[in-house]
Amino acid sequence: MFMLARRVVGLLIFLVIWEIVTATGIVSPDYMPRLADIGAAIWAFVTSGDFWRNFFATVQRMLLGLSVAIVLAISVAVVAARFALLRRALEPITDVLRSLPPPALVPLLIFVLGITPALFYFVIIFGCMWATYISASNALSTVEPVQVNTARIYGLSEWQILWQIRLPAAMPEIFTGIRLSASVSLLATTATEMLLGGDGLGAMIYNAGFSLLWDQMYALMFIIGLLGIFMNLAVAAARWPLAGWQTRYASMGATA
Amino acid sequence: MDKLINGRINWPGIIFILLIIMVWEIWAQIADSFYFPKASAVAMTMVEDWANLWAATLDTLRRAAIGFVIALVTMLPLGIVLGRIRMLGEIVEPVLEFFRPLPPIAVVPLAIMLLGIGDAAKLVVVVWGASFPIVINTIDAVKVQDPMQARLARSLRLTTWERMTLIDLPAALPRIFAGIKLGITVALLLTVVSEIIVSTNGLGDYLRVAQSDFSMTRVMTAIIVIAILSVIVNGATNWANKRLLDWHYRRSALAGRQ
Repeated sequence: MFMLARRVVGLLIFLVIWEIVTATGIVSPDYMPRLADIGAAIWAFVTSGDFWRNFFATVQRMLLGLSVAIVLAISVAVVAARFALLRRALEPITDVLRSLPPPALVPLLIFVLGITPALFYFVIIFGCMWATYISASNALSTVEPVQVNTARIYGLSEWQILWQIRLPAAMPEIFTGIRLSASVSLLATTATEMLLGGDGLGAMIYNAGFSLLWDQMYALMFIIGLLGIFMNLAVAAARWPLAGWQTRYASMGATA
Repeated sequence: MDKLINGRINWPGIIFILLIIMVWEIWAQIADSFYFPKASAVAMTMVEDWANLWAATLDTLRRAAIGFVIALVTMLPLGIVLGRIRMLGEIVEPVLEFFRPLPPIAVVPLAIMLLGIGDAAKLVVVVWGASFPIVINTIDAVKVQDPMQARLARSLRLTTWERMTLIDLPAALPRIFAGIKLGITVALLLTVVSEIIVSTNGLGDYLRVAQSDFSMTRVMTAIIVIAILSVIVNGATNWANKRLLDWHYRRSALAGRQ
């Protein structure tokens, strides 16, 4: 409870400073609108159907792209963990592809795919895949040798070892990758929407910015930030049943 | 066979990349489409347009480097202060946690409106993005202390200065470097992205101009140059990291062997 109070104090101080700066006019209210104005803009968004249409367009792209990317990344990583040749063959190319900023693909794909949903999903899936793939691939290939040897003695096949030993053991590290992928998904979605225009929160914030609608722009930044926080919480919630054993295990060790 | 697969030089990986380039070239030759530039044409563009590409690369690198250095010199001390002074950290950290999930791209319109389309706007975006990994990792790095080492320091009656330089700093370095590494990657990525959105010069601009010229070959060339540049920068960072933290990796390898 005390911790929570302190957390709120920090944010409150920030808001108070913002309000003082804008109220005294140190910074022109054109650039930094009063909190009340931003709040009003948020309220105007929340009560308009148009905003929700854009909001759900972004959320849908982000979640669908992220889920496909995660499934794809883990599947490839599992197969690559079984066949060392494949894993080694993919190493350099994944190094190249993951260092490519996803929005850099937009100018190329705009010619090939046009402004279609396929373009959005390609960019988002491409952007999100690597973080999960690399952590999954690393984690699957570096499992406690004792566990794998024990499983071999019990006569488990290589595939069984992969499913029953390696994958559960790799879950915590896979989730580290998924967390990274989740933040990339929000970035890739909004950046693509900014470049393509049309609908979505990215297009909205771009238009608001260039129309000098400052209160709307800050309101959208706030909403996109909330979306990011929500994504982090969602990943943390999914992590607990799948990889929470590591946290429980670690806290056991600390008390012993 | 096993040596070929798991040896020091990654032969399967090299062969795989060569194979991709070959399939790309043959496929493009067969397709012979405007939308599908040939690998050989891209290589030709790289040679012929060398001067422009090099100038663009330098612009991008300079911007990423300035942005990263600003983030480093401001966020490293801030992180140390916030991690050391607990009261302050507990108040400021939620504010940081609140801003972190905001994708740096969302700052672009604000930065353009306030600062125009010059270097300053792009730098703000790069600094904003590179700051979070550095400051958050630094806070975590200096906050966590090995109780054994702290007690040892007290037993040896080290002065505060000695304890900080001999024990706390080396202990915090690996985590701080992890943040710096991420910061460098993010800085380069955001430089390119902000150049695409606000194009004046740099590789992102080269890409955008090629797109508006409908020159698929140059679009592809720009993408490949960006990829190569990122691989080199990330490789150099990893190399420097390994050299500087050699003692740390050797020690954790030892600990793993117990």
